[in-house]
Amino acid sequence: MMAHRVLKFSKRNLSQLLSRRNNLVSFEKALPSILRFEFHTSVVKKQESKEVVTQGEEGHYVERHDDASGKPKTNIPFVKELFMGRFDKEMLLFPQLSSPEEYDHLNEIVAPVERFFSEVVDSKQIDVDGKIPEEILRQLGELGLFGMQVPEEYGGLALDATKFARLAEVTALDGAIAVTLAGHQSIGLKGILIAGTDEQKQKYLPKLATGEHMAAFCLTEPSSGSDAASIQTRATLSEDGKTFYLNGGKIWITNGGIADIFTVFAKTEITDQNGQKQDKITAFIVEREFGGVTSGKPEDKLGIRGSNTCEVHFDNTPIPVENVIGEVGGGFKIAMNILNSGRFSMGSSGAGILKKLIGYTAEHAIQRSQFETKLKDFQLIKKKFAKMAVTTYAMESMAYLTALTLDSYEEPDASVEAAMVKIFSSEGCWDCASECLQILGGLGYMKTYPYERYLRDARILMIFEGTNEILRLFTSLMGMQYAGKELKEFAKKAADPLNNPGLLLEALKMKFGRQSKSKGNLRLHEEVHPSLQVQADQLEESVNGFHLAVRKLLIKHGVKIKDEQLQLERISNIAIDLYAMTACIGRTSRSICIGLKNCDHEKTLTRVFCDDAYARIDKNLAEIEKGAQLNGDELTCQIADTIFENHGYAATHPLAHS
Amino acid sequence: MSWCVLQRLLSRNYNTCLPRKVYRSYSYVSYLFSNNNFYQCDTLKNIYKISNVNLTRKFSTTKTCTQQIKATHSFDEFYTAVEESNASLEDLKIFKFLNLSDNPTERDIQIKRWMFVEAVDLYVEKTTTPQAAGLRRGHIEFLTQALGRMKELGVARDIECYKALIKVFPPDIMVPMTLMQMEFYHYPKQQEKAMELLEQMEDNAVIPDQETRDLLTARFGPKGHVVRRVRKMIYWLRKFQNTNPYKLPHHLPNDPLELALLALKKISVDLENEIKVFNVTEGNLKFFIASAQSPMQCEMIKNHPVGAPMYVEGGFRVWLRDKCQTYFILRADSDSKLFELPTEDKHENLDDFETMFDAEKPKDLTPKPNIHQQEDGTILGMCITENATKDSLISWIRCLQDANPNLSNIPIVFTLRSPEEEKIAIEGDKDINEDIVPAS
Repeated sequence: MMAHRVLKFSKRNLSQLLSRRNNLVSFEKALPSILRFEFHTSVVKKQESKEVVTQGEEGHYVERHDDASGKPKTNIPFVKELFMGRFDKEMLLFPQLSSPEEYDHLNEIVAPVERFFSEVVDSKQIDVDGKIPEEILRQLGELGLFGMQVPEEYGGLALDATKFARLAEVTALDGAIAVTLAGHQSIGLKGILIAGTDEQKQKYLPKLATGEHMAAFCLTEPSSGSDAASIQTRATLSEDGKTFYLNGGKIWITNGGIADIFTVFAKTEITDQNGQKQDKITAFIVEREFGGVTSGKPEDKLGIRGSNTCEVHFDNTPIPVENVIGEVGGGFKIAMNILNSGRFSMGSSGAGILKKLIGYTAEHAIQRSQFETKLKDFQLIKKKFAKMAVTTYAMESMAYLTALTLDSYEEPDASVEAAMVKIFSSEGCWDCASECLQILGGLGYMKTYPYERYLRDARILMIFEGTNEILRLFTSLMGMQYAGKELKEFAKKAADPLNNPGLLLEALKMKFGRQSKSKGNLRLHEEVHPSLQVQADQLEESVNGFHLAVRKLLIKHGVKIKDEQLQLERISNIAIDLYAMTACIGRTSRSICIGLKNCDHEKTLTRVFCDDAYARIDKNLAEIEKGAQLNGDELTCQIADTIFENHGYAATHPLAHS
Repeated sequence: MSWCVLQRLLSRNYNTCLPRKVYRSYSYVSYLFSNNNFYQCDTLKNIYKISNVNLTRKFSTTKTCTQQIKATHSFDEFYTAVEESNASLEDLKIFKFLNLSDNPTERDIQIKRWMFVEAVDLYVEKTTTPQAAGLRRGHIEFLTQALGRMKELGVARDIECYKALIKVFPPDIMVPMTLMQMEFYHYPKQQEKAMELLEQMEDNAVIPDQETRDLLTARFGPKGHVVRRVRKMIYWLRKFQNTNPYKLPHHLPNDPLELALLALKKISVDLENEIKVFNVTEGNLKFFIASAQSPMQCEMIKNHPVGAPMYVEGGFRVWLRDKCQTYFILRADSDSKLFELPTEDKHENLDDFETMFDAEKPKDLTPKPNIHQQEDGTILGMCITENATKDSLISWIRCLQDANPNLSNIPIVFTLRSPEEEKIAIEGDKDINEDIVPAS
């Protein structure tokens, strides 16, 4: 498996070269911009001559043979840096697999899975029965789909994030199977994979990887959904200190009824350094065979009906202390890690479904005619298709940019990016599936056709793995926190303007100059194909405006920004748009540079997306600037408050007399 | 510039790059210094594992040089040798072709590629004897011949074969190391030949890959004309490769049916177009008919007035790269009303219009001609038959009657430009060149 050990990025691997490369920018400008990518390559090669270097024609990649230090340790989180107004230009060089052969190899893995899903899996029957047949599960296991990210030594496929994302595109074609697989390996066994000891891995992973055992992730409880810290399930240590006894109930557990191995989170009592007793969350591996594990009957759901979701109860279940994941009391971090690392693949899954749906719907639009005109010739229909394509394109670009970033570092920090991908793709899926139904008209609403199933399945995406609202807060608060640390000094000075006259001037400029969206000096257009200059400039302006808005909010609200959720939502929306723009521009630039098929089409998609995003960002920035009194936030809250006071809709009936 | 300086310039890196020095005796600049070049035979021996060879004599006398050139084998000799051994040794074939494809077209390509590469490899092997010591006398002549033969051997679009040919240039020796060498077109014949090779690749739309570039870099240095050219090719050709909206597979199939399908796909404009293949047996003649018709065309045939004739016209030509296909169309006379300009003065009626919601059949909306309704006729179907005879076209109409029962009531006129005589040789360079007529 040489292939996956070869590095993905060119310059990202060669961080030591970056500073030198930046010095070369002035040289590059002298070159016709179309040749710049060539130029990059030669620069890289020259300086790296000691290593085994292969030049990429596009100037995108440099291969280096495997050595432990090959991957850089960790990245500077891109989106968090955006909050500081700093833009890592490397992100505009869309990463790619290290060689064309690797892409072919990936397609070889994907082809049988695709065939299986299109020929063997009967999604309609699964949806009606509310159950995935045993036979299908067995065959999924044979294809290795239960252990995609498990290392080879434990019998898995050892796919990296990119390949996993590619396969997720295919497995997503059946929502129920996709969720079952995700419940099994994206969260169920992830705990063992990322924090388990070697003995635990040796004991559990081989059977989990083949699908002989199923895994489930037990966090949610009746009293705690998004708020993981408030769980009630309790594990008490026996007196001999060898066994924990687990008591409590979990609800809505994916695979809860069919799983043999559970990753359970429970409160345990630990004594901290000061000798005080505290309740902290610990993660356990629980086998069904330990006893005392009961699961309720499968829930009847709106979508993903084939997946098994039920309650799981633990009644004095004994767990040996060896089965603690990580350390006692360290469960919260593990839970967050698992959830954060599982999200990135939702972008590619969504894109996978949407590409299929767009195909079906396009066939319909080509064939059906109304008023002696084909549907495809109506502009209103065309617009819908364009919107779907643009969304899908952005979704796909973001997902793969994130996946490839994850692959290029040993301990990548892309949790915010992954959350953004999840938000964007879940909402995109819902919108586009809904548009598809609209194009199909009555046909889409009928159960005879698969379209309504896709719509139902898509609804869950916005709810599970962290609701989009929570993730929006997560995105903006993580970024704000990052920026806040750095802005502390600035804020201190800003609070005392008389002693810091320079700052006062700047603040005045901010106040009166309407500087919120001006073109800065990032010079992003130098990094992309010249035909994308306008888009790069739009991105640059937006980044600058965003930074100023963040600074303004932090100065205005300080720590209390946590309570300004409507402003935070706007911030996260802008951040998502910025990330999506970056991904789209980078991807299109690469496509044009290497002349991919239909790259003109990609350019149009990016143009439209960037125009839309630019307008959205503009609107959001203006609203942030206006503040809660003027942008309607206060009124919004007022309305809601009145409703709660009246326990419901509060306006009097229109026919009522006074 | 004094002689000493010139000498120093030219002899820089002597100690590190011995092979270059040896090879220099063959080049036009360095025969001047040939007398100085023989003091380090030991190292040379180590490099090429040569023993018991009197290098001094070999490189300094013109006599041996002539002998070497005489000993040069031509490409044909090697190719024939491979062909013969290939034909006689069935075992070898089996051994070599364990991974042969089942697809006959691909299989053919694989065998041709292997033969060519094997012939070139054989030459390289033969000429890398201790006596030749990396000189590879006569390789330019060999390359010239091989390049010329590529098209007729059917490997002109195969990158592996070009790579094999590049490997004929001896590595390392021709990389310019000094200023003078850089400046004065080092090893001109070799560079020219390499450029010719690249040009031939370009003409045949073969896009050089990474390996091609590496091979050439190892032979001509990273900054020479050759590598610069290959870099440009890699950059631009890859950009252009997807600009053709009717992209064909890199190797065109040999099967006439597959070719016909490709051609029909290329010329069908209707998105709903369906291509059907009828296998017809007539007497002792068996042939296929590939027919393209869309539901819209079927609909128009259904509504065609019974008395009005239809025409089968052809054969027209469509080109698939360098292969030609003859196709025929089923045509009806066009409805001239569709193309009449509205006589009413529209200017008086700018603010009063009828929409589709007002009446069952809005009179304002004139039907627009669809894509099949052209001013010179309405196209109702297209086909490519295997032998392009009139009989086969009659069978085509008969086949079409299954989907279009109305056809049996319509008189059909065959206005063919005698397809038998017009029949075009699909293969062979000569015919094709004669047949290319610029479209007017």
